[in-house]
Amino acid sequence: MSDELQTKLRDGTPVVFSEGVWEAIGEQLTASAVKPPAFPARPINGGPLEKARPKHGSWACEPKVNGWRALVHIPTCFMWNRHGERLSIEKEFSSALARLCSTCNCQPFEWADCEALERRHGIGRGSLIVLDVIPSRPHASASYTERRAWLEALLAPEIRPAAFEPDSIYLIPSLPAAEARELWPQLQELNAEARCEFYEGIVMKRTTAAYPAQLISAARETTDWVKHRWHF
Amino acid sequence: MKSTAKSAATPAPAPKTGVGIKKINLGGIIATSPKNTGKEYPALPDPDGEVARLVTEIVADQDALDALDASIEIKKGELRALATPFYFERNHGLHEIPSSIEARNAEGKSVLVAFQNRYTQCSDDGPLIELLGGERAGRFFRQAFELKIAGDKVPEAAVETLIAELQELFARHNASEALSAKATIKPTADFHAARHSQLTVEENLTLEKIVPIVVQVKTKGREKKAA
Repeated sequence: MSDELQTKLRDGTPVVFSEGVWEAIGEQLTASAVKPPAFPARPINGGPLEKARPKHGSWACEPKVNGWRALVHIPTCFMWNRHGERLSIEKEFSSALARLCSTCNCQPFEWADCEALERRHGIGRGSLIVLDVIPSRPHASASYTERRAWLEALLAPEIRPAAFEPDSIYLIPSLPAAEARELWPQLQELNAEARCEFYEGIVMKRTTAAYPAQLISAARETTDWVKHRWHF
Repeated sequence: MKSTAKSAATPAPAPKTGVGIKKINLGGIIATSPKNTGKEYPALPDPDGEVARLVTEIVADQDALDALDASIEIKKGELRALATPFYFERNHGLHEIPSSIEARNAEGKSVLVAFQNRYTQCSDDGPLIELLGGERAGRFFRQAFELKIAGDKVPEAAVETLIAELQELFARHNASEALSAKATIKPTADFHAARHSQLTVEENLTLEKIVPIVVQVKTKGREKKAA
C-alpha cells in the first residue's frame, strides 16, 4: 500500500480503488494474517573453536555473518525479525526480496531464514544471505542435508566479502565439519581484507537434524546448532 | 541461479476460532530490555599486573567453560532426543508414570532423564488449539498470569488508598488469596548517582555491608581492544 493511499485512508479522504490497489490491499491483509511458524533457530554458544570439544555425529560448518537475522515469507515477500516482529526496514531490501521470492517460490518451504546486510558494515547493503529454510509441515522433518540440497539447486554460495553486491541474494556456504579449523582462519583473513568484521566466527549445524523450529521464545537455543565466535 | 514454477500452493493457516483457552487481555503492559550501549569506561589501575593476570585467566576460563558447557549441552540434547520418544511410547496408556528414565553405560554409571511436572511457558495458544482442538486445549491448558505493581511508580499520596482498595476489590471477588505483596527497602531513584556527591567514600564503603551494590564481572559483549 502506498504512503499516499495510507494517508488518504487515515484522513478519511474518499478513494476510488483500481484493481491493482485492491490486489495490494488483499496482499497486505494476507500478510498481516501470516505469522512465522517458528522463531529463527538460535545456536548455543560453543566458545572459541580452538577450545571446542569434539562433536559426535555428522556436522556441517557455515560462516557466521555479521548482519541482522530475518525470516522472509516467500509468498508475500514480507520480513520478520528474530523476535517474530515485522521488520521496519523491509523497504531497504525490496530488490533482494523480489529476487528471493521469485527464485524460491517453488519449493517445499515458504519461509527463508536469512541474514540481512544493512548498517553494520558497508558490504552488500540491502542484500540477503539465505542461511536455511523452515520447511512446510509435510516436510517438517527434512534434515539439514535435504534443506541444503533444496537451496543449492536454487542459489549460489558466496564467501568473499568483496563479491557481495548491494541488493542481491546469496546462499551461505556450507562445509563438512572436518574443514572448520581451516575455515576459521580463512574467515579472519577475509575480514582483514574487507577491513571490517564481516564474519564473526562459524556456526556448526547437525546435518541429520530437522530445522529446530520452536515458538516458545526468541531467546531459546538449540543444541543442534553451535556458534563459535572469535570475540566473546 | 535457477528458478522453477511453484508445484502446489500451501493452504493458508486456519484463522483463530477463539474457542479453547479462556484468556484475559493483558495488552498494554510492555516488556522492555536493557540495551548494550558500547560505552567506554574508566580503566581499573593495574600497577603490579594483577588486574591483567586476572583478566587473562577469567577470559581463558570463560572460553573453556563455554566450550565445556556447549559440549555437555549437545550431549544432553542428544540424550533427551533419544529418551523422549521412549518416555511417551513406554508410558502410553498407563496412569502411574515414572518421573524419570535411566540411561546407563557399560561401567554401571547412569544419568537420569527427568520428565518433571513442569512445562515451558507458552504465550500463544494458536498451535495448541490447532493440534488438540479447542475442547481438549481448553481442558488441558489454562491461562496463568501475574500482575505486578511497581510500587515506587505509584504517587506516594495514593499508595495507602490504592492498596486498601485493591484488597477490598479482591475480597469482593472472593480472590483475597490471589493477592500477595512483598516489601523491601530500595534506594530512591537518584541514589545511585547522588551517593557519589552526597556521601563520603567511607560512608559508601560502609553501605556496602548493609545494601551492597550488585557487581557483575561481564565477559560477554566486550570487543578485543588494542594493548
